[in-house]
Amino acid sequence: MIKDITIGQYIYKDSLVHRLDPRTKIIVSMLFMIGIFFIKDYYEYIYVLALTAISIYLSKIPVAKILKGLKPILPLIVLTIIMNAFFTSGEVIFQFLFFKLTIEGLALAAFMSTRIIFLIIFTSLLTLTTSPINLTHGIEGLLNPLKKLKVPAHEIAMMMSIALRFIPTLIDETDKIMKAQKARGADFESGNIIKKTKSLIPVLIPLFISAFTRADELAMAMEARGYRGDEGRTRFREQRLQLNDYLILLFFLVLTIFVGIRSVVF
Amino acid sequence: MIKISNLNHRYMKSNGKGVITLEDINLNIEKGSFVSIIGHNGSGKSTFAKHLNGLIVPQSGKIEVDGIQIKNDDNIWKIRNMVGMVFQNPDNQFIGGTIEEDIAFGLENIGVPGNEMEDRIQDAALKVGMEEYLKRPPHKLSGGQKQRSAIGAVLAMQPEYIVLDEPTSMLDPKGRQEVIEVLRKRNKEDKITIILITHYMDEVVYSDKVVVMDKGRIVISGQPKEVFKQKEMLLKIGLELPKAALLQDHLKKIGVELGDCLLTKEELVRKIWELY
Repeated sequence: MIKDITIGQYIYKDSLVHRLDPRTKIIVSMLFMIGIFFIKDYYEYIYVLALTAISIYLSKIPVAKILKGLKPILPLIVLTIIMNAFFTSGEVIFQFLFFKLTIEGLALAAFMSTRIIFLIIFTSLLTLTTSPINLTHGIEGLLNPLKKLKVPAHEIAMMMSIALRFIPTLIDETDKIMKAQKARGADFESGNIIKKTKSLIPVLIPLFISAFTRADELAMAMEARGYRGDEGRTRFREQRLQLNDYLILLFFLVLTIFVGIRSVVF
Repeated sequence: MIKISNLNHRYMKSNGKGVITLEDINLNIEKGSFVSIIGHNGSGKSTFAKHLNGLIVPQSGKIEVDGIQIKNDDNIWKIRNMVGMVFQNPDNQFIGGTIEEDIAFGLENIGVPGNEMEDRIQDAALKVGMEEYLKRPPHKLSGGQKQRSAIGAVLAMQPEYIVLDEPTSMLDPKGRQEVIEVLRKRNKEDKITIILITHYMDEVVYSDKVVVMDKGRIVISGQPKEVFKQKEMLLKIGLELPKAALLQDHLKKIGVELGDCLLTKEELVRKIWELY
């Protein structure tokens, strides 16, 4: 049960977007984030909508899955709407104590929440179409130029991939420890939040101890298999940018620059 | 050949007392042989294993692997290419997210070109019978499967020697048998030297040489038949006999004489068969 949860939200499909280099997808997501902040008018969202729709269509990811990804950020959207709607000065249409609902506020609320929704939908395509391990490879690739500035790019990526690898193992172990403690009469379900949190201590302590043992043994196993950091290392399935990657990067770069310049000039 | 001469090891306890874990170990491990090291918990066999590929550098004494002495950082990586190591806990030596990534990890470390990796991974997986599971993550595998892929990951690096530190102690009987079968096959077919550390007596009966350790020393060493003849000595240091030998012993007590020390089920069945 507990170990069946999926890490990340990667959905395997054979699509153009899936085949893109993770680095391309990360950069495009960033460009999109920058670009969307230059948008000033509602009608311009039509273009954003078109761009997002085409991307989703090309990724073959079911729209329902993407909309499901919006659920966790619903509180954020609601908060944005409330803050903007009630705290923008303008023509008051409704007043309750010091909360003033204004027309300008409503407009701004709609504008802001649309922006957030597009932002989330588009960037979630990145995690939906890239497996966690490819994502770490992509991050390593992008951090690589920073190695000259002593940024430990390889080490960061290695830590991330080991963390990903051990999540299911540790969940499994948590499950086991909880069962063992339940068998000894531990109660995890009743009581208020404080009591519930406290009851987790007998689970967390054994979990931490075993995690340290694991880390120790893993380090030794890595050394035994000849691991000595980045030095002299080759890569399994080296990623190379394809024509598609270059085209898409170019497209988004030009688009972002265009949107940026336009918003400054006009 | 791995030549170990006058190897000693001790570690400091927190109260400042030195504890001797290895004392005057002398051993030659022939290339292509299957050597088992048995001993009780705390007999020093794991410490000994870690010396063989430089995870622990000898404090005193000498270890030579094919003429290269394990001494310092310069040659330690070369030694680790030659001597592969498999550990006890299958989960804690699985580095990659899937079997193929895990096998690739070792190859990446030793600088195998990317386009050669696919072939070597396939080959290694085939040798340990895991070719169908290459894309599986570790938590979707049984203990035996995990240990076999760990052996595969070491095989892909094409070492001359493989040291296995109690590889079966966390496995069920089926997984244990699978692992031992893979080891015997690789030893016979690829002439890879296997150094198996275990406390299951039934796993050592097929080896060319059995080394018995107790309190940091080698007490008996020789062919399995000769080692298991010294029943009293083995029992004294807390070890037992292989099941076949144990049954032979019980039969002897009730007056059924089966002759020479028997180690495997097949031998035992044949002898009993011949009785009547």
